[in-house]
Amino acid sequence: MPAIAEHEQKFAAEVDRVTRLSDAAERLLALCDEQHVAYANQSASAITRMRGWVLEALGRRPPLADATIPYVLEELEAPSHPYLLAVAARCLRAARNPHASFALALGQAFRTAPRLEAPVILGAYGGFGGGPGTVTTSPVRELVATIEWLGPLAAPLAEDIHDALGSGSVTPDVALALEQLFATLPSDPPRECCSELPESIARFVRWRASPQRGVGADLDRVMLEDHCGNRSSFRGLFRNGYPTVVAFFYTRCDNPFKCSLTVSKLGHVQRLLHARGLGNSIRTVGITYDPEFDTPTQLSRYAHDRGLLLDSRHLLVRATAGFDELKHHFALGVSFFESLVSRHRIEVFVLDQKGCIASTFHRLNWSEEQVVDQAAALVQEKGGRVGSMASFVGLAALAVPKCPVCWATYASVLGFSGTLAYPTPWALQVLAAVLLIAYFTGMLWQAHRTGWRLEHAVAVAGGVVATFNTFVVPAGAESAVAVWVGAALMACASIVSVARRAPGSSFGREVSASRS
Amino acid sequence: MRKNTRRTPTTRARDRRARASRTSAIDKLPALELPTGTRAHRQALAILGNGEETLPRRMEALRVLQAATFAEPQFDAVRADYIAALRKLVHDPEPELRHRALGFLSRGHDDYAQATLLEGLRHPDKALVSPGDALAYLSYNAHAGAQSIARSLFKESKDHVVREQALRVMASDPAARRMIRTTLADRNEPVSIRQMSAAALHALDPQALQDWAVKAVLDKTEPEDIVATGLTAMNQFSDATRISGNAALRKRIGEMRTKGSGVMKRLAKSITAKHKL
Repeated sequence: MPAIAEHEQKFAAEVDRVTRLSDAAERLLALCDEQHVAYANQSASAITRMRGWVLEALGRRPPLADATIPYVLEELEAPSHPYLLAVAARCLRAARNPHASFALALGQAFRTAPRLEAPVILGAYGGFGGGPGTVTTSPVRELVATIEWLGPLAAPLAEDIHDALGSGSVTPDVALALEQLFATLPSDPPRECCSELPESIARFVRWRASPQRGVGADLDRVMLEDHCGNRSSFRGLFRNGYPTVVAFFYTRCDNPFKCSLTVSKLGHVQRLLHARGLGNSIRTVGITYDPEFDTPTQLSRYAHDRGLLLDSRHLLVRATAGFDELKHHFALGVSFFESLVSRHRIEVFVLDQKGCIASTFHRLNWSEEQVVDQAAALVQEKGGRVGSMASFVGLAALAVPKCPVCWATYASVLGFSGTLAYPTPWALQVLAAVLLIAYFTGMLWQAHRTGWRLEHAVAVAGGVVATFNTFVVPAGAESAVAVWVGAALMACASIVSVARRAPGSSFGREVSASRS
Repeated sequence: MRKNTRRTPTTRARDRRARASRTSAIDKLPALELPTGTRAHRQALAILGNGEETLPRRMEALRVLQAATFAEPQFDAVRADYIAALRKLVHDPEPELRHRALGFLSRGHDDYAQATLLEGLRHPDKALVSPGDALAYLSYNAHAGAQSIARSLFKESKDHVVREQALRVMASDPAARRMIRTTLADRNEPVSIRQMSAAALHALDPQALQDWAVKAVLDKTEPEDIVATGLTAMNQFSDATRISGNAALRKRIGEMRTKGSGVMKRLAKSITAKHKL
């Protein structure tokens, strides 16, 4: 048998020690966290053995705490290693009660297990070796035992069991156990068979942030590069007035149920957004855990292969600076072996219009519909106060004076101030607000000087229509007609004002008369 | 300082002998008379695990079983036993069986095989295969955790085979980028090592490889094999504007179309046609 590295030996001994303590469950749960210092700079294989040993210890101390169950289900939903899969299947049987929602993860594991089938020795660190108290088993054997434990709640797996029996892909003793189990399953599955996780467990894998986690100054160091090579700051990318669905992944992930599936599902999120008419008001961004390896070319190829459409609103990015700050901000469940990702969980976030984390989905498989619902709710919530960028641009354009000389002046000002080189959303918002204030102040001053006239009323009405459309109407529901009406009213006010000053015009005479 | 040589005749002969010895057993494989389905797999497993059987029969049993791993759904019923048998073979006295077993297990990212190979690299007295072979098997899995060992072997070993295989592992290790770039630019390194470095750099930093390729092609003092590597990198992965925008490079490629060896002419013509120079 290969010798185990010293670090792993110490870790295994520590797990054995804490298992005997009265607060073993809490201590072992802490060891499940990917960010635990014990996993720092350990290879993927080492971490697999270490986590497997922790799950084995947890399984020996029933009942499992609700907080532990997501770690167990995670290994069943995204199986990649025989030892971890067998241990997780056994560990689940230490749960207080079987629950219908476990069937989903067990089904996934049961369909994948035949390809991962290998001898696993439970009670021996890493699943190989042996000695007193060890049991030789395999992922399929443990899964079948757990499905038996699930009892009638395993009804949704009837088809999978039937297929396994029909294909002859199980050993005779496993086939016998499956046949007996199949005979006991109700032909008409109970309605709760495919139910959601109970809230007591679900709260550990998805939640709405309250209060929403803000964007701290430490994120100023973060620089992101997208699949086209364009660079942007964290604030520039996420504090843009749009909610954003953010998913983490890396292209070298060898677990098809994690990163590859996450990016494919991000593509589905895009399609759902477009179907709901939210494609332009909610962004999607995938961020790689592996910025050193995942170059823009690599990101483009990965997205293309998984049906993800990339454009200026839907991006895959890597952090060219400040990845540690990014990791801290999102509290990422990822560990590294030198520069390689050695372990990570599934992680999806919904950010609000200011880049704050509004909702988190992690560890277990996430529902695209739920994520889209969360993001859409943000559009509804914030829409009354924050308009879309298009509206700001339009508003800014409406509010500026429009003579050719003025345009040259604007170009100079924008040029020497560097505004055009840094067209961040907040800059446009500030620009629009400043111009509006100047516009209304100028109009009121003019009205005060000359007395209220038709053009003043029309100009203010136009400004109010455009402002209302941008700031009050919910984002995504702004009306192009309202913009045009506002623009038309403002243009009419300008024409009336100029006509009044034109010599010989009726307006001009009216002005002269009023002055005399 | 290492000599600037190609792979030496001695090395080539050794590689040829190793390849020949590994294929000779296959050439002589007897046809096993096996039933069909799971029974056949079980019989083949029995032959494979029986040290009294002849090597050709055991090799054939291994071939039959490995073919069945992806061809027959019934194989799943014996997959665990097959993996267990392969793990035993890792310690078999027959080197051919050891190599085959380690190769198959490593391709499946088997934890036991990886741990055994890594242990052999850390403690050569426990090694079941040569360091070069161990690195080759470990390179199948970027997550095997062999990167730091590969880097140190690459620096310390005098064996070209070990260093070449170390580069295969380092191709998945961004921390090795600088070392690979330095090796690629180092004229004192053997050509085969520099060529392997080029492949590794392409995996880690394609842009850096293209930068190097331009320099290599323009440098008339570089060995022909290295220039050919640079031309190949350009031909396969460079974009047209990068080449067409460089007058010196266009001129040099133009010269190569008429001067130099047949390989160089072909590569130069291919680039010219592909990028419409």
